[in-house]
Amino acid sequence: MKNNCANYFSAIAVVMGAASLASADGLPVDKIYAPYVNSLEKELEYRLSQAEGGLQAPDGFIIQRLGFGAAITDSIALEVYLSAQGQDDANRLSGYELEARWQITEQGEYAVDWGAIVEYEHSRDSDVEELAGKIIALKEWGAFVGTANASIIYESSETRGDEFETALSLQARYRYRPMLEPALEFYSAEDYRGIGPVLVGAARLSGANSLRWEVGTVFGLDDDSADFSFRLMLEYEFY
Amino acid sequence: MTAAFRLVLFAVSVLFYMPAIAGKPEFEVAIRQHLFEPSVIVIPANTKIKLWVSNEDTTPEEFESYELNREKVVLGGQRSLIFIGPLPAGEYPFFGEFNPKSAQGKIIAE
Repeated sequence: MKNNCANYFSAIAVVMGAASLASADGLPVDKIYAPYVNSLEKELEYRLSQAEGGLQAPDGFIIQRLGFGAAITDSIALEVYLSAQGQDDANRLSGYELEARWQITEQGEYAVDWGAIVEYEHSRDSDVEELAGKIIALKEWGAFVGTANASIIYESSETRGDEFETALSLQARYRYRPMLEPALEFYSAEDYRGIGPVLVGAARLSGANSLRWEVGTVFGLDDDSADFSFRLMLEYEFY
Repeated sequence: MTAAFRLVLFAVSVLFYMPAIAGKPEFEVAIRQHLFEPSVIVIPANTKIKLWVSNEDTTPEEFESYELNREKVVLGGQRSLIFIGPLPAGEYPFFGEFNPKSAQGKIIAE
């Protein structure tokens, strides 16, 4: 038991250390990924993030994403998103994203479940291209689930030049019931530290389909961070 | 490269929780005519187990359980491995999401 506690504290220390090093610009408050891929599964996904204040959104910021994804094997899924962003509204196409997710270990096979994501993003409005690699780690403690997404991002921009960035997002979730799972999320990136509550839930629909949602507000922890960031995700999974 | 990467991840996982590498008892369940056979599986409490799910039907089925926090599609004519637990003593229902009315079962940890 003591060894386990020591290991957990070591893990927390590693995560906190990584958080202190994390840096990335843009709005980091977004979906936190689990590592799992299910054969045959397809999904339609809508995501909305809106922020006010800080260096990220001094005049407001809103981004919407609409995506379609499908598992191509029992461990790899591909997804494509169209995005629209702006200060007051986001109703015009501004970019696209391509994403490949890889489930590295079986759920429950080891003490931690692992996955990885490679993501390419092109923003037409700001003429920015990003290539990101993300490691996903998920650990269950009974009804509690801890998820970490650690990213390294290469950004190429005509105005800001080329740079490498890092970001870290953490989620602690309690599996209360399928329709309602309260969670706490923490985000760390360049000029941003934020924490806030999120509600997660899913409803089974007919024909093995389901609707999953996530909604929450993350509050900035310092002057540089956006005062608040609202995020919403709706995901329709079907076969 | 993949094997080396998996090895590194495995080593990191071991640091988190040593008992995870202990030997795991194995159990079998089959899907026939959209039914789980056996429909009741008794496993030891507080022990991680391997559950092999063999889908003998020609159509896919999804082993799903919120209580077990597991969701796994098993294609027709194929066999998949699901790691379960360690679970406290109790009953944990599961079902086939593609045929939820017929494909039902439970795991009893004791």
